[in-house]
Amino acid sequence: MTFTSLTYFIFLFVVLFLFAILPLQKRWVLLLVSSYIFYAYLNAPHLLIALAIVTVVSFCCGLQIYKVNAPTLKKYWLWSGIITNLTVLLLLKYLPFLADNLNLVLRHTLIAHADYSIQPLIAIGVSYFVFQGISYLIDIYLEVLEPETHLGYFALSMSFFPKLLQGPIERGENLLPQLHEMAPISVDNLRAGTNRFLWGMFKKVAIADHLATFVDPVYQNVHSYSGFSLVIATYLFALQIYFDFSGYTDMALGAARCFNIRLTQNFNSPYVATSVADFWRRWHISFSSWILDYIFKPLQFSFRDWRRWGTPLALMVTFAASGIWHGASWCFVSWGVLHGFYLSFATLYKKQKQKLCKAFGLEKSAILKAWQIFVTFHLVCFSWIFFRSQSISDALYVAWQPVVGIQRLFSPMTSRNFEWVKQIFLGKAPQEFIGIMLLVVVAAGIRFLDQRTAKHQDQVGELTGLAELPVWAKGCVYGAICYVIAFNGAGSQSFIYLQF
Amino acid sequence: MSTLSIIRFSFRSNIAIIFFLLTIELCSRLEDSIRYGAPFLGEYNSKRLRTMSETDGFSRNVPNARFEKWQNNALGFRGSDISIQKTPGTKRIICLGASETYGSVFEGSGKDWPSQLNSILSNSSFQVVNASVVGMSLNSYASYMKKYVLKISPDIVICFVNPMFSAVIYERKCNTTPKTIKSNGSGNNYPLISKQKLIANIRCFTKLKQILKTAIQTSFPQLLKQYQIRDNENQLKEAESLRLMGRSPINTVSDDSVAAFKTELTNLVVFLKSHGITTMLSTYPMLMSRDNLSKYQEIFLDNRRFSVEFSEIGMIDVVDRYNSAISEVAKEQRVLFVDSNKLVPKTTEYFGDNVHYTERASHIIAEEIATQLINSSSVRTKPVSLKPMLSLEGR
Repeated sequence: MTFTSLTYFIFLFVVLFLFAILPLQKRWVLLLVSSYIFYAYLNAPHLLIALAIVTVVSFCCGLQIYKVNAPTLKKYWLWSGIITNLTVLLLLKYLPFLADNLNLVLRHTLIAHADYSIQPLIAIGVSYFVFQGISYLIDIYLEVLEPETHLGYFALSMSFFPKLLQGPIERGENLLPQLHEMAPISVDNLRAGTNRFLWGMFKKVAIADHLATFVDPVYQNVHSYSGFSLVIATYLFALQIYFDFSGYTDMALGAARCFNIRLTQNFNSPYVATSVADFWRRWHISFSSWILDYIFKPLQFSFRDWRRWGTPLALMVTFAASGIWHGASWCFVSWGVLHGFYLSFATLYKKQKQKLCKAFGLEKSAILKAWQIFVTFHLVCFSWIFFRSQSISDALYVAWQPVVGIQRLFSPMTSRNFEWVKQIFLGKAPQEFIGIMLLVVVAAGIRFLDQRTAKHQDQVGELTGLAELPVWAKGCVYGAICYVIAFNGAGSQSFIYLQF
Repeated sequence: MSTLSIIRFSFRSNIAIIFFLLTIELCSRLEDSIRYGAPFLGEYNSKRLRTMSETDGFSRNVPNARFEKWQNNALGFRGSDISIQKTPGTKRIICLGASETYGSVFEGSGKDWPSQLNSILSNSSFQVVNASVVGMSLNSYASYMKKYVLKISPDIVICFVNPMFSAVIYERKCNTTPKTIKSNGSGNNYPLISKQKLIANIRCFTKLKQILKTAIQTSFPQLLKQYQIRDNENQLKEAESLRLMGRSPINTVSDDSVAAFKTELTNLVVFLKSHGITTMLSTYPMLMSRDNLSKYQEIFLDNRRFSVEFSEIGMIDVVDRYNSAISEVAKEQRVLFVDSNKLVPKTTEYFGDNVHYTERASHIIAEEIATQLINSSSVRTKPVSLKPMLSLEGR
């Protein structure tokens, strides 16, 4: 049941209707049951078992950590919870990857016919609720959070259906209090939720899915393309993944908002980041803050004796782990390591950079900011090559091809047959390319206006400006948005982040 | 809530809904006119591609007409413009048939079998022209060829003949019905539903219907199937009462009907031969078979509306016997022959409905025809190699 399917709309409508008519104290039961039904719809019983295990283990360990006084016992319960959660994640997500690599090693070393292949299982949503469970335990251990004493509410916080499949990775301190204080459905919440949901759907269906029709053929067969096409496909993928994931997040936040629950904002204009560190403050915020708090900070503390190299090393390890979290493949690991390298390099040469800016008097200039945005965007785009490619050799081809063929990259521009124009459009009709670029510009314009009209950062994406329009104009705007979503979608494509 | 506020609320809601619908309709028309050059205000449907010629007695394609992905050239053939005079050394292949050859909604743009044949043969000196007309039956082929196709000097004609059209026409001749039934302009008479006509003028409704159908098909396939079966059964009953007037649908096609078809097809081949044209006949692939009758019930019921004279078993019998007749004519007349019916597997992976193909089936047909053409000594011009098609895997 994906967010863009008719089944989900009907499901959401029915749950909302029941939520509205049920007494306040029974609503958590409805949301919990519907969340499990939603998850059961994936037709993978092992996922329900995994969710139940992570929920019960995190709940019990959380209570024990809080109850016991001895630090060693606290530590014992903490590690018991973390290891159980990670074991679930490992079994469902990483075992086939580990087996494949073990086979590879064995084949090249000792045993010629070793085959320990394991069929991969569906693991949709597992890494999200496992991370949520781990953060809950650590927060209780660090005494940042008091444990939840009601298993029902805790189970709901782990399984709440709008965020179950692709996050955001919620912290107990944000979600649990809201679940305890569920307010009745209000017109304002419904309007804000619907607006955000529609906005997310617009980004996903009208833009990301269309962009996928340009990007997928190239990245599925990179060796058939060269120069310009690979560069353009990479830029388009950067847009696709943003519109896909932020579209999903808006749909999740919108659905939750209808129930008067505010989930964590996951994006804040990531492609206008002025550094890679800034990018990570704006991209997949719930995840980046998670790895910062629960991996980077403890590592940085552990490596404090390494002086100048402590932080870079902690960054490298953190982002390698981030790559592994995204998927059991060397491409994701390379993507994570690349980001770790960017951040480590920036940390090591921070002072030199500041000195250089000071020397040229560029400290607060708009030119410097524009340059930083340009460079950051391109560094991120470069890393997306590894993220999107099907293998490391494909990624290296995409990364290297435009460099070795630099002459070929630009020579088509000068040729008279306008071959380079065809390369830009990636074999599609020019009007299709122009159409999708226009939609990207429209989306950027709407986002800009929305940011200006929103009174609070939380409201960005809720299209609050629509409320001030006259009723006929509202009809027109909703009509146009619904038209583009319903009639102009490129067909249902799966969400990119669903695989993680 | 006071009465006044209720009235105000409902008034405002109605205004919003009216503007909402108006915007959707406006966007539909705007998109059609930008993407396909459709008229902003006029009627826009597939009928604009064809016209019923009163003088000829058969429908033909309107020159330069365009509807969505379908475009006719200046000569009234599907595809881009061609010159009447062919370039020296070129061999013109004419694809003659009905909607299965013209191209349907089930293949992507440029993926109908004549287009795929053109792609496969693009390295050779062949030029493929799709001269088919939706709804064209065998009795019009020769007249149509004479009037519109011979002037472009065809070298090879590949004929796809819809057996159901011929069988139904024969039956209707034998059992003339007193009630006149309006023609929908496609050359194939079946009852028109006035409600559909009205909805067709509101463009967003047509699109919305399609989207809803796709959405329901993805989410609730069984539910849609049940609805379609019931809906098609009702429509079929309506059509049967108009056409059959108490008679039962036929289970076995008469020998006379098959013989008449065979004679007509032989005449066509002789006519083509007399003009020095190499002919290729193909059997007619149909999804319906004795093995899958219950599997695709909704599809078969839908298709039966156009040939109510025959039961499902009767339709299978028509296609089997007429296809045998096609193969016999090909043998007797020593013309090229492709058994497309045997080549295409009878599943919905290959058929969009009972008689229209998906890209996969079109690919199979195009590849077989290309192979036959290249291997045939009668049509070979210069050594050619089959151009590998884009991989169809994953479609």
